[in-house]
Amino acid sequence: MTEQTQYIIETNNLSKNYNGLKALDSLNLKVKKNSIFGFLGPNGAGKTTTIKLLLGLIHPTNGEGRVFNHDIERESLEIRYRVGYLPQNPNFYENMTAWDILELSLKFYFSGPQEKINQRVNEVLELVELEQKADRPVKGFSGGERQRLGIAQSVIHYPDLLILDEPAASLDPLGRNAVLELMSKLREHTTIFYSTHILDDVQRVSDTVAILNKGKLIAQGPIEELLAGSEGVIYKIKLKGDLQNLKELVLTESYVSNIKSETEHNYKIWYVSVSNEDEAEKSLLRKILSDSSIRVLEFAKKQYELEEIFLNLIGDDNNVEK
Amino acid sequence: MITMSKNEKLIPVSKNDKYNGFKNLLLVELREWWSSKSWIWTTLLWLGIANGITFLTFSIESEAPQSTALMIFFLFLGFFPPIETILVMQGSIVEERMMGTVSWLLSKPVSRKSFILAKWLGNSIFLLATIVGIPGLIGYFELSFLTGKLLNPLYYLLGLGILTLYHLFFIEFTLYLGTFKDNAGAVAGPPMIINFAQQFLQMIPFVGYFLPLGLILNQMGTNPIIVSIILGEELYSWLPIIFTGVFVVLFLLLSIWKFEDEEL
Repeated sequence: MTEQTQYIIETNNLSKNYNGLKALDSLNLKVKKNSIFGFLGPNGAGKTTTIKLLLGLIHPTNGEGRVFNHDIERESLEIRYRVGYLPQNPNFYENMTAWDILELSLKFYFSGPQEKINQRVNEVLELVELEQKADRPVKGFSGGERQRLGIAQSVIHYPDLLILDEPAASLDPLGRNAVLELMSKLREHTTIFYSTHILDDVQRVSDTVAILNKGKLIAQGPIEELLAGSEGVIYKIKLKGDLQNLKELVLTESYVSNIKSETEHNYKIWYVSVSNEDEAEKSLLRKILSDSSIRVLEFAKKQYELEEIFLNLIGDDNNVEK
Repeated sequence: MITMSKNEKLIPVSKNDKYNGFKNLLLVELREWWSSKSWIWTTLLWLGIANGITFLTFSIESEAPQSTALMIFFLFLGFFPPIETILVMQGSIVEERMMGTVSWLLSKPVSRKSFILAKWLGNSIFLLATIVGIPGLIGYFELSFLTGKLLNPLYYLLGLGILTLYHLFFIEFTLYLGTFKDNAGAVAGPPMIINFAQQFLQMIPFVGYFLPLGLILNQMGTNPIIVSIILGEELYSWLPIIFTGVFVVLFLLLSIWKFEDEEL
Protein backbone atom coordinates (compact mmCIF):
# COMPACT_ATOMS: atom_id res chain seq x y z
CA MET A 1 0.00 0.00 0.00
CA THR A 2 1.47 3.35 -0.96
CA GLU A 3 1.68 6.35 1.33
CA GLN A 4 -1.05 8.00 -0.76
CA THR A 5 -3.65 5.28 -0.30
CA GLN A 6 -2.77 4.34 3.25
CA TYR A 7 -4.62 7.35 4.59
CA ILE A 8 -8.31 7.90 4.08
CA ILE A 9 -8.04 11.52 5.22
CA GLU A 10 -4.94 13.62 4.78
CA THR A 11 -4.69 17.36 5.29
CA ASN A 12 -1.77 19.62 4.59
CA ASN A 13 -1.65 22.93 6.50
CA LEU A 14 -5.42 23.14 6.22
CA SER A 15 -6.55 26.50 7.59
CA LYS A 16 -9.77 28.40 7.94
CA ASN A 17 -10.25 32.00 9.00
CA TYR A 18 -13.53 33.68 9.85
CA ASN A 19 -13.35 37.47 9.68
CA GLY A 20 -9.62 37.35 10.29
CA LEU A 21 -9.89 34.97 13.23
CA LYS A 22 -8.20 31.60 12.88
CA ALA A 23 -10.74 28.84 13.39
CA LEU A 24 -8.30 26.25 12.09
CA ASP A 25 -4.58 26.78 11.89
CA SER A 26 -2.38 24.67 9.59
CA LEU A 27 -3.95 21.32 10.38
CA ASN A 28 -1.95 18.27 9.32
CA LEU A 29 -4.14 15.29 9.91
CA LYS A 30 -3.66 11.69 8.83
CA VAL A 31 -6.43 9.16 9.28
CA LYS A 32 -5.66 5.55 8.49
CA LYS A 33 -8.04 3.18 6.79
CA ASN A 34 -10.16 1.05 9.15
CA SER A 35 -9.36 3.11 12.22
CA ILE A 36 -11.74 4.65 14.74
CA PHE A 37 -10.28 8.09 14.88
CA GLY A 38 -11.30 10.27 17.81
CA PHE A 39 -11.01 13.97 17.04
CA LEU A 40 -10.84 15.47 20.46
CA GLY A 41 -10.97 19.05 21.61
CA PRO A 42 -12.84 21.48 23.82
CA ASN A 43 -15.83 23.38 22.44
CA GLY A 44 -14.74 25.89 19.82
CA ALA A 45 -11.48 24.05 19.08
CA GLY A 46 -12.25 23.78 15.35
CA LYS A 47 -13.59 20.23 15.15
CA THR A 48 -16.81 21.02 13.29
CA THR A 49 -14.94 23.45 11.04
CA THR A 50 -12.57 20.62 10.06
CA ILE A 51 -15.48 18.27 9.33
CA LYS A 52 -17.26 20.88 7.23
CA LEU A 53 -14.05 21.49 5.28
CA LEU A 54 -13.66 17.77 4.61
CA LEU A 55 -17.23 17.62 3.28
CA GLY A 56 -16.89 20.71 1.10
CA LEU A 57 -19.54 22.63 3.04
CA ILE A 58 -17.06 25.46 3.64
CA HIS A 59 -13.90 26.44 1.80
CA PRO A 60 -10.37 26.51 3.22
CA THR A 61 -8.55 29.82 3.57
CA ASN A 62 -5.21 28.07 3.07
CA GLY A 63 -3.78 24.59 2.69
CA GLU A 64 -5.39 21.55 1.21
CA GLY A 65 -7.07 18.31 2.13
CA ARG A 66 -7.69 14.98 0.50
CA VAL A 67 -10.26 12.30 1.30
CA PHE A 68 -9.86 9.00 -0.56
CA ASN A 69 -7.16 10.91 -2.42
CA HIS A 70 -9.78 13.32 -3.80
CA ASP A 71 -9.29 17.05 -3.32
CA ILE A 72 -11.83 18.39 -0.81
CA GLU A 73 -12.42 21.56 -2.83
CA ARG A 74 -12.53 20.34 -6.40
CA GLU A 75 -13.77 16.78 -5.99
CA SER A 76 -16.21 17.13 -3.13
CA LEU A 77 -19.01 15.28 -4.91
CA GLU A 78 -16.77 12.22 -5.41
CA ILE A 79 -15.94 12.28 -1.72
CA ARG A 80 -19.57 12.62 -0.64
CA TYR A 81 -20.53 9.46 -2.57
CA ARG A 82 -18.32 7.46 -0.20
CA VAL A 83 -18.87 9.28 3.07
CA GLY A 84 -21.64 9.01 5.64
CA TYR A 85 -22.11 12.09 7.83
CA LEU A 86 -23.87 12.63 11.11
CA PRO A 87 -24.15 16.34 11.92
CA GLN A 88 -23.97 17.66 15.45
CA ASN A 89 -27.58 17.84 16.74
CA PRO A 90 -29.09 16.31 13.60
CA ASN A 91 -32.26 17.97 12.37
CA PHE A 92 -34.35 16.29 9.74
CA TYR A 93 -37.66 17.24 8.17
CA GLU A 94 -39.91 17.00 11.19
CA ASN A 95 -43.01 15.74 9.36
CA MET A 96 -41.17 12.91 7.69
CA THR A 97 -41.07 9.47 9.28
CA ALA A 98 -37.89 7.57 10.10
CA TRP A 99 -38.62 5.37 7.09
CA ASP A 100 -39.00 8.41 4.81
CA ILE A 101 -35.71 9.89 6.00
CA LEU A 102 -33.84 6.65 5.40
CA GLU A 103 -35.43 6.02 2.01
CA LEU A 104 -34.63 9.59 0.97
CA SER A 105 -31.03 9.21 2.16
CA LEU A 106 -30.53 5.94 0.30
CA LYS A 107 -31.99 7.29 -2.94
CA PHE A 108 -29.23 9.88 -3.16
CA TYR A 109 -26.91 6.93 -3.84
CA PHE A 110 -29.05 4.19 -5.34
CA SER A 111 -31.93 4.45 -7.77
CA GLY A 112 -33.57 1.09 -7.13
CA PRO A 113 -35.07 -1.40 -7.41
CA GLN A 114 -37.65 -0.36 -4.82
CA GLU A 115 -37.75 -3.84 -3.29
CA LYS A 116 -34.01 -3.67 -2.53
CA ILE A 117 -34.36 -0.12 -1.27
CA ASN A 118 -37.05 -1.28 1.18
CA GLN A 119 -34.89 -4.21 2.25
CA ARG A 120 -31.93 -1.97 3.00
CA VAL A 121 -34.06 0.53 4.94
CA ASN A 122 -35.37 -2.34 7.06
CA GLU A 123 -31.86 -3.64 7.72
CA VAL A 124 -30.65 -0.27 8.93
CA LEU A 125 -33.73 0.32 11.07
CA GLU A 126 -32.97 -3.00 12.72
CA LEU A 127 -29.34 -2.03 13.20
CA VAL A 128 -30.27 1.08 15.17
CA GLU A 129 -33.24 -0.60 16.84
CA LEU A 130 -35.85 1.78 15.46
CA GLU A 131 -38.04 -0.81 13.68
CA GLN A 132 -40.97 -0.04 15.97
CA LYS A 133 -40.76 3.67 15.22
CA ALA A 134 -40.28 3.42 11.47
CA ASP A 135 -43.63 5.00 10.64
CA ARG A 136 -43.61 7.75 13.23
CA PRO A 137 -42.80 11.37 12.33
CA VAL A 138 -39.37 12.49 13.48
CA LYS A 139 -40.86 15.38 15.48
CA GLY A 140 -41.88 12.88 18.20
CA PHE A 141 -38.41 11.35 18.55
CA SER A 142 -36.28 11.68 21.69
CA GLY A 143 -32.69 12.94 21.49
CA GLY A 144 -31.33 9.41 21.56
CA GLU A 145 -33.70 8.22 18.85
CA ARG A 146 -32.79 11.14 16.62
CA GLN A 147 -29.13 10.36 17.10
CA ARG A 148 -29.68 6.70 16.21
CA LEU A 149 -31.69 7.74 13.17
CA GLY A 150 -28.81 10.08 12.32
CA ILE A 151 -26.38 7.20 12.45
CA ALA A 152 -28.75 5.04 10.40
CA GLN A 153 -28.97 7.59 7.59
CA SER A 154 -25.19 7.96 7.66
CA VAL A 155 -24.49 4.23 7.18
CA ILE A 156 -27.37 3.33 4.87
CA HIS A 157 -25.36 3.58 1.64
CA TYR A 158 -22.45 1.40 2.84
CA PRO A 159 -19.99 4.30 3.25
CA ASP A 160 -16.24 3.73 3.24
CA LEU A 161 -15.87 6.53 5.79
CA LEU A 162 -18.19 7.66 8.54
CA ILE A 163 -17.82 11.22 9.80
CA LEU A 164 -19.68 11.74 13.06
CA ASP A 165 -19.80 15.17 14.67
CA GLU A 166 -20.20 14.81 18.45
CA PRO A 167 -22.28 11.64 18.13
CA ALA A 168 -22.90 11.24 21.86
CA ALA A 169 -22.65 14.79 23.17
CA SER A 170 -26.28 15.59 23.88
CA LEU A 171 -27.33 12.18 25.12
CA ASP A 172 -28.12 10.78 28.55
CA PRO A 173 -25.87 7.93 29.79
CA LEU A 174 -28.11 5.23 28.30
CA GLY A 175 -28.36 6.92 24.93
CA ARG A 176 -24.63 7.58 24.94
CA ASN A 177 -23.92 3.96 25.69
CA ALA A 178 -26.16 2.82 22.84
CA VAL A 179 -24.42 5.11 20.36
CA LEU A 180 -20.94 4.01 21.46
CA GLU A 181 -21.94 0.36 21.17
CA LEU A 182 -23.25 1.04 17.71
CA MET A 183 -19.95 2.65 16.76
CA SER A 184 -18.07 -0.37 18.08
CA LYS A 185 -20.27 -2.64 15.94
CA LEU A 186 -19.58 -0.55 12.86
CA ARG A 187 -15.81 -0.48 13.28
CA GLU A 188 -15.45 -3.80 11.44
CA HIS A 189 -17.06 -2.40 8.34
CA THR A 190 -15.85 1.15 7.86
CA THR A 191 -13.41 3.83 8.95
CA ILE A 192 -14.90 6.12 11.60
CA PHE A 193 -13.76 9.69 12.09
CA TYR A 194 -15.64 11.33 14.90
CA SER A 195 -15.33 14.50 16.89
CA THR A 196 -15.99 14.68 20.58
CA HIS A 197 -15.15 16.55 23.72
CA ILE A 198 -15.98 13.54 25.91
CA LEU A 199 -12.71 11.91 26.91
CA ASP A 200 -14.25 8.70 28.22
CA ASP A 201 -15.80 8.00 24.84
CA VAL A 202 -12.48 8.35 23.07
CA GLN A 203 -10.73 6.06 25.51
CA ARG A 204 -13.54 3.53 25.17
CA VAL A 205 -13.90 3.18 21.42
CA SER A 206 -11.01 4.87 19.57
CA ASP A 207 -7.76 3.37 18.41
CA THR A 208 -6.28 6.66 17.19
CA VAL A 209 -6.73 10.14 18.53
CA ALA A 210 -5.95 13.71 17.55
CA ILE A 211 -6.23 16.57 20.00
CA LEU A 212 -7.18 19.99 18.75
CA ASN A 213 -7.11 23.20 20.76
CA LYS A 214 -7.87 26.69 19.50
CA GLY A 215 -7.66 25.51 15.92
CA LYS A 216 -4.26 23.87 16.32
CA LEU A 217 -3.40 20.20 16.35
CA ILE A 218 -1.45 19.55 19.54
CA ALA A 219 -1.17 15.76 19.49
CA GLN A 220 -1.96 12.90 17.14
CA GLY A 221 -1.28 9.18 17.34
CA PRO A 222 -2.44 5.75 18.47
CA ILE A 223 -4.26 5.97 21.77
CA GLU A 224 -1.81 3.59 23.51
CA GLU A 225 1.05 5.94 22.64
CA LEU A 226 -0.75 8.91 24.09
CA LEU A 227 -1.75 6.98 27.17
CA ALA A 228 1.88 6.00 27.71
CA GLY A 229 2.27 9.60 28.77
CA SER A 230 4.21 12.56 27.60
CA GLU A 231 6.31 12.63 30.74
CA GLY A 232 7.85 9.22 30.07
CA VAL A 233 7.50 6.24 32.39
CA ILE A 234 6.73 7.01 36.01
CA TYR A 235 6.55 4.57 38.94
CA LYS A 236 4.14 5.36 41.74
CA ILE A 237 5.41 3.95 45.05
CA LYS A 238 3.70 4.17 48.44
CA LEU A 239 6.26 3.98 51.26
CA LYS A 240 6.54 4.13 55.03
CA GLY A 241 9.65 4.93 57.09
CA ASP A 242 12.51 7.43 57.00
CA LEU A 243 13.08 8.01 53.34
CA GLN A 244 15.85 10.62 53.26
CA ASN A 245 18.75 8.18 52.80
CA LEU A 246 16.76 5.99 50.45
CA LYS A 247 15.94 8.94 48.19
CA GLU A 248 19.63 9.82 47.85
CA LEU A 249 20.43 6.19 47.15
CA VAL A 250 17.76 5.78 44.48
CA LEU A 251 18.74 9.04 42.78
CA THR A 252 22.27 7.67 42.25
CA GLU A 253 20.82 5.06 39.89
CA SER A 254 21.56 6.03 36.29
CA TYR A 255 18.06 5.26 34.99
CA VAL A 256 16.31 7.44 37.62
CA SER A 257 15.85 10.98 36.41
CA ASN A 258 13.66 12.50 39.09
CA ILE A 259 11.65 11.77 42.25
CA LYS A 260 8.61 13.77 43.26
CA SER A 261 7.29 13.17 46.74
CA GLU A 262 3.86 13.67 48.34
CA THR A 263 2.83 13.08 51.92
CA GLU A 264 -0.46 11.37 52.71
CA HIS A 265 -1.36 10.62 56.37
CA ASN A 266 1.60 8.68 57.79
CA TYR A 267 3.10 7.52 54.51
CA LYS A 268 4.69 9.02 51.41
CA ILE A 269 4.01 8.62 47.75
CA TRP A 270 6.92 8.81 45.37
CA TYR A 271 6.64 9.46 41.66
CA VAL A 272 9.88 8.14 40.21
CA SER A 273 10.59 9.19 36.62
CA VAL A 274 12.84 6.76 34.82
CA SER A 275 14.74 7.08 31.58
CA ASN A 276 15.32 3.35 31.01
CA GLU A 277 12.16 1.35 31.54
CA ASP A 278 13.84 -2.05 31.20
CA GLU A 279 16.50 -1.23 33.79
CA ALA A 280 13.88 0.20 36.13
CA GLU A 281 11.76 -2.97 35.88
CA LYS A 282 14.75 -5.07 36.87
CA SER A 283 16.30 -2.97 39.60
CA LEU A 284 14.10 -0.24 41.09
CA LEU A 285 12.07 -2.35 43.52
CA ARG A 286 15.17 -4.32 44.62
CA LYS A 287 16.99 -1.10 45.31
CA ILE A 288 14.18 0.20 47.50
CA LEU A 289 13.82 -3.08 49.37
CA SER A 290 17.55 -3.10 50.07
CA ASP A 291 16.74 -0.69 52.92
CA SER A 292 15.14 -2.99 55.46
CA SER A 293 13.73 -0.10 57.54
CA ILE A 294 11.40 0.90 54.69
CA ARG A 295 8.01 -0.65 54.15
CA VAL A 296 6.64 -0.70 50.56
CA LEU A 297 2.86 -0.53 50.59
CA GLU A 298 2.33 -0.14 46.85
CA PHE A 299 4.52 -0.33 43.77
CA ALA A 300 3.11 0.23 40.29
CA LYS A 301 3.79 1.82 36.97
CA LYS A 302 1.62 4.92 36.73
CA GLN A 303 -1.43 4.44 34.47
CA TYR A 304 -2.44 7.56 32.60
CA GLU A 305 -6.01 8.51 31.96
CA LEU A 306 -6.75 10.32 28.74
CA GLU A 307 -8.16 13.17 30.75
CA GLU A 308 -4.80 13.74 32.39
CA ILE A 309 -2.99 13.70 29.05
CA PHE A 310 -5.61 15.97 27.54
CA LEU A 311 -5.48 18.49 30.36
CA ASN A 312 -1.67 18.51 30.32
CA LEU A 313 -1.56 19.09 26.58
CA ILE A 314 -4.26 21.74 26.57
CA GLY A 315 -2.66 23.41 29.60
CA ASP A 316 0.79 23.41 27.96
CA ASP A 317 -0.67 24.80 24.76
CA ASN A 318 -2.43 27.61 26.61
CA ASN A 319 0.72 28.43 28.59
CA VAL A 320 2.83 28.60 25.45
CA GLU A 321 0.42 31.12 24.00
CA LYS A 322 0.62 33.28 27.12
CA MET B 1 -27.48 -8.60 11.89
CA ILE B 2 -25.35 -5.75 10.54
CA THR B 3 -25.12 -5.68 6.80
CA MET B 4 -22.47 -3.28 5.66
CA SER B 5 -21.02 -5.08 2.68
CA LYS B 6 -22.28 -3.63 -0.56
CA ASN B 7 -25.45 -5.02 -2.05
CA GLU B 8 -24.69 -5.48 -5.72
CA LYS B 9 -28.39 -5.60 -6.56
CA LEU B 10 -28.93 -1.93 -5.73
CA ILE B 11 -28.39 0.24 -8.77
CA PRO B 12 -26.04 3.20 -8.11
CA VAL B 13 -27.12 6.61 -9.36
CA SER B 14 -25.08 8.23 -12.12
CA LYS B 15 -22.10 10.12 -10.71
CA ASN B 16 -21.58 12.48 -13.63
CA ASP B 17 -24.81 14.39 -13.44
CA LYS B 18 -24.73 18.18 -12.93
CA TYR B 19 -28.12 17.84 -11.31
CA ASN B 20 -27.27 15.14 -8.76
CA GLY B 21 -30.06 14.71 -6.26
CA PHE B 22 -32.47 17.11 -7.97
CA LYS B 23 -35.34 14.62 -8.36
CA ASN B 24 -35.00 13.48 -4.75
CA LEU B 25 -34.92 17.02 -3.39
CA LEU B 26 -37.85 18.11 -5.53
CA LEU B 27 -39.90 15.22 -4.19
CA VAL B 28 -39.05 16.32 -0.64
CA GLU B 29 -40.27 19.83 -1.37
CA LEU B 30 -43.45 18.66 -3.06
CA ARG B 31 -44.22 16.15 -0.33
CA GLU B 32 -43.67 18.81 2.32
CA TRP B 33 -46.52 20.86 0.82
CA TRP B 34 -48.89 18.39 -0.75
CA SER B 35 -48.87 15.63 1.87
CA SER B 36 -50.24 17.99 4.51
CA LYS B 37 -53.40 20.09 4.47
CA SER B 38 -51.53 23.35 4.01
CA TRP B 39 -52.37 23.48 0.29
CA ILE B 40 -56.09 23.26 1.11
CA TRP B 41 -55.93 26.09 3.65
CA THR B 42 -53.82 28.27 1.38
CA THR B 43 -56.14 27.72 -1.55
CA LEU B 44 -59.20 28.44 0.59
CA LEU B 45 -57.57 31.61 1.87
CA TRP B 46 -57.02 33.07 -1.61
CA LEU B 47 -60.32 31.76 -2.91
CA GLY B 48 -61.97 33.54 -0.02
CA ILE B 49 -60.07 36.78 -0.49
CA ALA B 50 -59.99 37.09 -4.29
CA ASN B 51 -62.92 35.05 -5.56
CA GLY B 52 -65.07 35.72 -2.49
CA ILE B 53 -64.65 39.50 -2.37
CA THR B 54 -65.03 39.82 -6.15
CA PHE B 55 -68.24 37.79 -5.99
CA LEU B 56 -69.65 39.83 -3.12
CA THR B 57 -68.75 43.13 -4.79
CA PHE B 58 -70.40 42.20 -8.09
CA SER B 59 -73.43 40.65 -6.50
CA ILE B 60 -74.12 44.14 -5.18
CA GLU B 61 -72.84 46.22 -8.14
CA SER B 62 -73.75 44.04 -11.12
CA GLU B 63 -73.65 46.89 -13.66
CA ALA B 64 -69.88 47.51 -13.27
CA PRO B 65 -67.77 47.00 -16.42
CA GLN B 66 -65.90 43.74 -17.02
CA SER B 67 -62.53 45.49 -16.70
CA THR B 68 -63.38 46.61 -13.16
CA ALA B 69 -64.25 43.05 -12.15
CA LEU B 70 -60.95 41.78 -13.58
CA MET B 71 -59.02 44.60 -11.94
CA ILE B 72 -60.45 43.87 -8.50
CA PHE B 73 -60.00 40.13 -8.85
CA PHE B 74 -56.36 40.31 -9.96
CA LEU B 75 -55.49 43.05 -7.52
CA PHE B 76 -56.46 40.72 -4.69
CA LEU B 77 -54.58 37.80 -6.30
CA GLY B 78 -51.54 39.97 -6.94
CA PHE B 79 -51.07 42.49 -4.20
CA PHE B 80 -51.61 40.42 -1.03
CA PRO B 81 -50.30 36.90 -1.82
CA PRO B 82 -46.63 38.08 -2.01
CA ILE B 83 -46.82 38.33 1.78
CA GLU B 84 -47.29 34.56 1.88
CA THR B 85 -44.81 33.98 -0.93
CA ILE B 86 -42.07 35.93 0.83
CA LEU B 87 -42.65 34.19 4.18
CA VAL B 88 -42.73 30.73 2.58
CA MET B 89 -39.52 31.30 0.63
CA GLN B 90 -37.78 32.86 3.60
CA GLY B 91 -38.67 29.84 5.74
CA SER B 92 -37.69 27.43 3.03
CA ILE B 93 -34.10 28.65 2.92
CA VAL B 94 -33.22 30.57 6.07
CA GLU B 95 -34.97 28.29 8.57
CA GLU B 96 -33.46 25.22 7.00
CA ARG B 97 -30.02 26.79 7.09
CA MET B 98 -30.43 27.64 10.76
CA MET B 99 -31.74 24.14 11.57
CA GLY B 100 -28.89 22.47 9.73
CA THR B 101 -30.99 20.48 7.25
CA VAL B 102 -29.25 22.26 4.38
CA SER B 103 -25.78 21.13 5.45
CA TRP B 104 -27.15 17.65 6.14
CA LEU B 105 -28.59 17.39 2.62
CA LEU B 106 -25.48 18.86 1.03
CA SER B 107 -23.30 16.30 2.78
CA LYS B 108 -24.95 13.83 0.38
CA PRO B 109 -23.85 13.70 -3.26
CA VAL B 110 -26.11 16.61 -4.12
CA SER B 111 -25.04 19.49 -6.32
CA ARG B 112 -25.79 22.95 -5.01
CA LYS B 113 -27.46 23.80 -8.29
CA SER B 114 -29.89 20.92 -7.72
CA PHE B 115 -30.62 22.17 -4.23
CA ILE B 116 -31.52 25.69 -5.37
CA LEU B 117 -33.51 24.50 -8.37
CA ALA B 118 -35.48 22.02 -6.25
CA LYS B 119 -36.26 24.72 -3.69
CA TRP B 120 -37.33 27.09 -6.43
CA LEU B 121 -39.42 24.63 -8.40
CA GLY B 122 -41.00 22.82 -5.44
CA ASN B 123 -42.08 26.02 -3.71
CA SER B 124 -43.10 27.72 -6.94
CA ILE B 125 -45.38 24.85 -7.90
CA PHE B 126 -47.09 25.02 -4.49
CA LEU B 127 -47.40 28.79 -4.39
CA LEU B 128 -48.44 29.25 -8.00
CA ALA B 129 -50.97 26.41 -7.89
CA THR B 130 -52.64 27.73 -4.73
CA ILE B 131 -52.43 31.44 -5.54
CA VAL B 132 -52.68 31.55 -9.34
CA GLY B 133 -53.83 28.15 -10.59
CA ILE B 134 -56.88 27.13 -8.59
CA PRO B 135 -58.32 30.61 -7.77
CA GLY B 136 -57.49 31.71 -11.33
CA LEU B 137 -59.32 28.81 -12.98
CA ILE B 138 -62.36 29.20 -10.75
CA GLY B 139 -62.11 32.94 -11.40
CA TYR B 140 -62.51 32.36 -15.13
CA PHE B 141 -65.99 30.93 -14.70
CA GLU B 142 -66.85 33.31 -11.89
CA LEU B 143 -65.85 36.44 -13.84
CA SER B 144 -67.58 35.24 -16.97
CA PHE B 145 -70.72 34.56 -14.96
CA LEU B 146 -70.63 37.82 -13.01
CA THR B 147 -70.12 40.00 -16.08
CA GLY B 148 -72.41 37.94 -18.29
CA LYS B 149 -69.77 37.64 -21.01
CA LEU B 150 -67.49 34.65 -21.63
CA LEU B 151 -63.83 35.65 -21.44
CA ASN B 152 -61.45 34.56 -24.19
CA PRO B 153 -59.81 31.47 -22.63
CA LEU B 154 -56.49 31.95 -24.43
CA TYR B 155 -56.20 35.58 -23.38
CA TYR B 156 -57.25 34.62 -19.89
CA LEU B 157 -54.48 32.00 -19.72
CA LEU B 158 -52.00 34.62 -20.92
CA GLY B 159 -53.28 36.82 -18.12
CA LEU B 160 -52.59 34.05 -15.60
CA GLY B 161 -49.11 33.85 -17.09
CA ILE B 162 -48.64 37.55 -16.29
CA LEU B 163 -49.80 36.93 -12.72
CA THR B 164 -47.33 34.01 -12.53
CA LEU B 165 -44.55 36.32 -13.67
CA TYR B 166 -45.48 38.80 -10.97
CA HIS B 167 -45.30 36.17 -8.24
CA LEU B 168 -42.10 34.63 -9.60
CA PHE B 169 -40.49 38.02 -9.09
CA PHE B 170 -41.12 37.79 -5.32
CA ILE B 171 -40.38 34.05 -5.11
CA GLU B 172 -37.00 34.48 -6.74
CA PHE B 173 -36.06 37.76 -5.10
CA THR B 174 -36.58 36.14 -1.68
CA LEU B 175 -34.79 32.97 -2.79
CA TYR B 176 -31.83 35.00 -3.96
CA LEU B 177 -31.53 36.89 -0.66
CA GLY B 178 -31.84 33.57 1.22
CA THR B 179 -28.81 32.13 -0.55
CA PHE B 180 -26.41 34.46 1.24
CA LYS B 181 -28.22 35.93 4.25
CA ASP B 182 -29.05 33.89 7.31
CA ASN B 183 -31.31 36.36 9.03
CA ALA B 184 -35.07 36.11 8.47
CA GLY B 185 -35.54 39.89 8.56
CA ALA B 186 -32.79 40.56 6.04
CA VAL B 187 -34.32 38.03 3.65
CA ALA B 188 -38.01 38.88 4.00
CA GLY B 189 -37.61 42.64 4.55
CA PRO B 190 -36.50 43.94 1.11
CA PRO B 191 -39.14 42.08 -0.96
CA MET B 192 -41.82 43.00 1.56
CA ILE B 193 -40.82 46.67 1.34
CA ILE B 194 -40.84 46.54 -2.46
CA ASN B 195 -44.27 44.93 -2.48
CA PHE B 196 -45.78 47.75 -0.45
CA ALA B 197 -43.63 50.64 -1.67
CA GLN B 198 -44.46 49.94 -5.33
CA GLN B 199 -47.84 51.63 -5.06
CA PHE B 200 -46.13 54.91 -4.10
CA LEU B 201 -43.19 54.51 -6.47
CA GLN B 202 -45.56 53.90 -9.38
CA MET B 203 -46.77 57.47 -9.15
CA ILE B 204 -43.29 58.84 -9.86
CA PRO B 205 -43.05 59.60 -13.61
CA PHE B 206 -41.14 56.93 -15.60
CA VAL B 207 -40.37 54.83 -12.51
CA GLY B 208 -43.78 53.24 -12.73
CA TYR B 209 -42.89 51.66 -16.08
CA PHE B 210 -40.15 49.56 -14.51
CA LEU B 211 -42.09 48.13 -11.58
CA PRO B 212 -43.68 44.67 -11.47
CA LEU B 213 -46.78 46.32 -9.98
CA GLY B 214 -47.69 47.60 -13.45
CA LEU B 215 -48.58 44.01 -14.31
CA ILE B 216 -51.52 43.95 -11.89
CA LEU B 217 -52.26 47.59 -11.03
CA ASN B 218 -51.92 50.81 -12.97
CA GLN B 219 -52.53 54.06 -11.12
CA MET B 220 -51.87 56.13 -14.24
CA GLY B 221 -55.37 55.94 -15.64
CA THR B 222 -55.31 52.99 -18.03
CA ASN B 223 -55.90 49.28 -17.40
CA PRO B 224 -53.07 47.27 -15.85
CA ILE B 225 -51.28 44.88 -18.18
CA ILE B 226 -53.06 41.75 -16.95
CA VAL B 227 -56.49 43.25 -17.61
CA SER B 228 -55.47 44.60 -21.02
CA ILE B 229 -54.16 41.18 -22.06
CA ILE B 230 -57.31 39.36 -20.97
CA LEU B 231 -59.55 41.88 -22.75
CA GLY B 232 -57.34 41.88 -25.86
CA GLU B 233 -56.55 45.60 -25.54
CA GLU B 234 -53.35 47.37 -26.40
CA LEU B 235 -50.89 47.48 -23.47
CA TYR B 236 -50.02 50.82 -21.94
CA SER B 237 -46.40 49.67 -21.95
CA TRP B 238 -44.39 46.46 -22.43
CA LEU B 239 -41.74 47.64 -20.00
CA PRO B 240 -43.18 46.08 -16.81
CA ILE B 241 -43.27 42.67 -18.55
CA ILE B 242 -39.75 43.06 -19.90
CA PHE B 243 -38.23 44.30 -16.65
CA THR B 244 -40.01 41.79 -14.45
CA GLY B 245 -39.03 38.99 -16.86
CA VAL B 246 -35.39 40.09 -16.83
CA PHE B 247 -35.35 40.17 -13.03
CA VAL B 248 -37.02 36.76 -12.81
CA VAL B 249 -34.29 35.21 -14.97
CA LEU B 250 -31.57 37.24 -13.26
CA PHE B 251 -32.59 36.36 -9.70
CA LEU B 252 -32.66 32.64 -10.47
CA LEU B 253 -29.22 32.72 -12.12
CA LEU B 254 -27.83 34.84 -9.28
CA SER B 255 -29.26 32.43 -6.70
CA ILE B 256 -27.53 29.47 -8.35
CA TRP B 257 -24.28 31.37 -8.72
CA LYS B 258 -24.28 32.81 -5.22
CA PHE B 259 -25.17 29.54 -3.49
CA GLU B 260 -22.37 27.69 -5.27
CA ASP B 261 -19.76 29.41 -3.05
CA GLU B 262 -21.86 29.90 0.04
CA GLU B 263 -20.46 28.53 3.31
CA LEU B 264 -22.86 26.36 5.29
